[in-house]
Amino acid sequence: MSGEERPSVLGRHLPKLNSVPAVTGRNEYTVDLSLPGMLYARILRSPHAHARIVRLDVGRARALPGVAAVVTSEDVRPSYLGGSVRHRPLLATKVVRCIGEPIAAVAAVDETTAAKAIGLIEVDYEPLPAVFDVNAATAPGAPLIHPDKSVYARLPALDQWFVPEPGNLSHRIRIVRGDVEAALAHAAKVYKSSFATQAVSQVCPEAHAALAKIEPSGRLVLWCSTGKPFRIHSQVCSLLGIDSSRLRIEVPDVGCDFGVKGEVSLEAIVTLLAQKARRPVKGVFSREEEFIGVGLRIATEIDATLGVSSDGRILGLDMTFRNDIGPYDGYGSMITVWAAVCAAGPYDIADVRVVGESIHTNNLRGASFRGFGNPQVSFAREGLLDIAAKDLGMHPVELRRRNGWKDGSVTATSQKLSTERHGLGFIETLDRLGDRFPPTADQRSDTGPLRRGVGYACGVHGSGYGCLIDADTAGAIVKLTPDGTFLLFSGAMDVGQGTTTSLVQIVAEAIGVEPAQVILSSQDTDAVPFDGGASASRQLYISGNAVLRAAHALRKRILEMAADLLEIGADNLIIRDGVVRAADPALSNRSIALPQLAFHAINVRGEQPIAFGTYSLQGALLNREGKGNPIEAFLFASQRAEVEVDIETGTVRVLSLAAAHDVGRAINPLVIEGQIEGSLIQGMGYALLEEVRQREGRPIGPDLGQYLVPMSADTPELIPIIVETHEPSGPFGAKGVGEAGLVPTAAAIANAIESATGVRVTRLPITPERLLEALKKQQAR
Amino acid sequence: MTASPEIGATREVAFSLNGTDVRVAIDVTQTAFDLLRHDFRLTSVRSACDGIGMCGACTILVDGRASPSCLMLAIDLAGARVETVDALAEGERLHPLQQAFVAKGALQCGYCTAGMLLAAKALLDDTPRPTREQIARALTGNLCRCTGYAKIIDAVETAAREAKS
Repeated sequence: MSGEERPSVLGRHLPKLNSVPAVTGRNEYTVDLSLPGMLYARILRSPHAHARIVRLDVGRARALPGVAAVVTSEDVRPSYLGGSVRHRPLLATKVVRCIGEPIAAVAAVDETTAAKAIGLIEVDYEPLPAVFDVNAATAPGAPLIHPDKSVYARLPALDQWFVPEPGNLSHRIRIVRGDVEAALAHAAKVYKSSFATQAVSQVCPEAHAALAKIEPSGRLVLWCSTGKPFRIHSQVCSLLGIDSSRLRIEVPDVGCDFGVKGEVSLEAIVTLLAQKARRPVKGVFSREEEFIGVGLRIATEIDATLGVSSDGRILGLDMTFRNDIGPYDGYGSMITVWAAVCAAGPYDIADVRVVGESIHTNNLRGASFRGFGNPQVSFAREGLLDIAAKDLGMHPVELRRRNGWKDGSVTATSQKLSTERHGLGFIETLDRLGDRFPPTADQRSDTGPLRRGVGYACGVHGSGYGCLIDADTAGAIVKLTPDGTFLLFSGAMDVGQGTTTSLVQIVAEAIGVEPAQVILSSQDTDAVPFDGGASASRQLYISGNAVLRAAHALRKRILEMAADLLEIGADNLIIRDGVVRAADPALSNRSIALPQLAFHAINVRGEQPIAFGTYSLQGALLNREGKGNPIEAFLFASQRAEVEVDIETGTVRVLSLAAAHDVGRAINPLVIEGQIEGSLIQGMGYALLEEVRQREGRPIGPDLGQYLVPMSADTPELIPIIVETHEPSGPFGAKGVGEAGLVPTAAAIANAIESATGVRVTRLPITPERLLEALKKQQAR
Repeated sequence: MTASPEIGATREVAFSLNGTDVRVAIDVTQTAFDLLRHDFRLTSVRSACDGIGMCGACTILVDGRASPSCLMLAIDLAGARVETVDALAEGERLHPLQQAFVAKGALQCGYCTAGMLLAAKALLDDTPRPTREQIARALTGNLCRCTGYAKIIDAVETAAREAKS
């Protein structure tokens, strides 16, 4: 590529591809779609946390005029859902195991009729003993939620940790490095504490929505709101016994995903109803269903012990955590594994033991939510580190720097890190944060009842599915169209985060055109190669590599074709301003414009100007001891929170949140800042506001009047600091960012509150009531 | 206030919708949200809270004031000047607020954007030079789960500044 002085497309603040449609109101989500003759779906859900269904009669609902179809478990072949264990039925069979579990569904001519039909379904329940606490659930004699737990299919990558004995413990994962008991016995200082985190809702503004239709050919088409269309595709097909070639999924604009739109429920229900009724069927979850019907961030209880030398070296970490996964192990145990992998953070600790348990209860189902279990364990670890720093009289950043990963470090899973293979920008994130906020800026201050303080926390996450899957795969196609623009076919999804804009930049940079000359094709599982979807901060890294390979391959072919025409070696050609021409200015009249080349390729040469690329990351599985290389591209985040606490009311005002993130090469800083800022605010909500409170498995509320999320007046000053490094295996050195932002935020805020008040609250969210109670206890001492 | 109307009764109302005079028969219990989104098929009027006024996605301008359409009855639109985001641009020329939202990265999934823009427009029409705090307060009924709000506030500030110069 010599001779090119084109300004790089990388690093540009390119507005997201959906920007103009969004500001003009022309964007279109699944909730906005409608078809002639469309029916409306509605679901009957369990009012009991655990009960046997002794009678289910849908006769009166079926007879109601305007009702086109009613389905129950009898209409579904015996097949189950679940990422970790396949035991969640689409519609309950004989037993319901949590509030909100779907039992039956109807399709009717309008929403009123559908609601009326639901009211006509008769169900008799026989309540069963239930359990709502992870400790009670694992105590002897606890009611069993799955008495036949061993009969269901399980995820092979996790099977080594499955607990076959009867009980509510689904999986127990252990990661062991060295001898933690010996290390703690010899440590100069040992700190021990328990922490607890709560269930929270993703609160996607666009609720789950799906519209299914039988095409004239007899094939099924499903429009749905998801970032993971291929995952939904395979679940719907396997659940309903549809041959994979008989279903295609098309995804319009998506009003957020945050991890939760990858476990089928509504999507299969509307498909089933459309098959029954032979008419299009649309369903949209209510906000209440978004709380009770989709799965929440898992609530976790953590006990942790940290051993430190007197000069601030972390000698040992012993952590045990219990994840309340609810009655079904969808992503629950995968989340437990991922949390265990991330639990020791970006620190080289010679002796580590992490034990994570996934425990069934009759609370609402646990599910995936940005961070995938990592914010929970990081809250505990970073809290303990703060306790240690204070006790040692060391600046919290210094303690972290002293132990942080660098070239040659070894992780808790005994993975050896080298800068040759991994981008290791952790120490740089601390440095950059320190440049912006020197330790002298961290003075705490009091003004009457208002106490100000500063707190820090760090975290590590991974780009890609890593140890949760044998192969994390994506494919992409790029083709040159007759007008000289390029069309990108990728299954990578924009759910708001903006990866597809960065992918367009990758294509433009690789080929040598402007981003405006690259168009992303619509996302249809028929048209694009397989892609694992918007999940695990993987798309820029995994899909980005596939896209880059496709773009490079097409560029190579274009130059070869032009070389034949222009009688110049392909190595001496460049693509500039939409024209292929000689790199040598003296030969600048030897050129062909891309539209002419496209015409020539097809009509003269007889060749399609199209190329395919694929990328797959493999070999990340862990062994039984939790040893292995679960992460290839590490995401590092170091954050600083400044808070003001009113000790009379217990209210916390976050004044600023600064976040330094190692993102590898910054393809699109605007998109990256958006990811960092958005996760900071979600982390702030997690720290201070949000909780799906349940009483015996029944959520309180649950609506946006009672469930509080941060609004614009709550927004502190946000300071995203992009730390550019080079990820050796990433496209142009890039890697993901989406989840890392949320990982340390709650811990940083909790640490800032401690710095302001001297009081540490170890249970999230840190509500005024909890903080006042802790302050009162402190005064009593 | 007149005597409470009967459920199912219909009335005819006339109002201006995005600059066009409209006259339509409505159910007296129908919300403005339902009328605009379903009867007029203005899908830019969205909802995230099922009509309890907590998300701002259904914000419209009624005589220039930002109002959650889910909490208004359609009948109360009678005689009013009603605007949705669909009429904010002049043809293909984006309103300064729209331009600033694009340039500043003030949107991600885009679901809340229409309501956010209308709340911002009402603010700037009333207070052309708002402080960041005034902007944050004016938009605080509009839920955004993606951006963290800072870039939205930046965009409104930018639009206000550019309108001044």
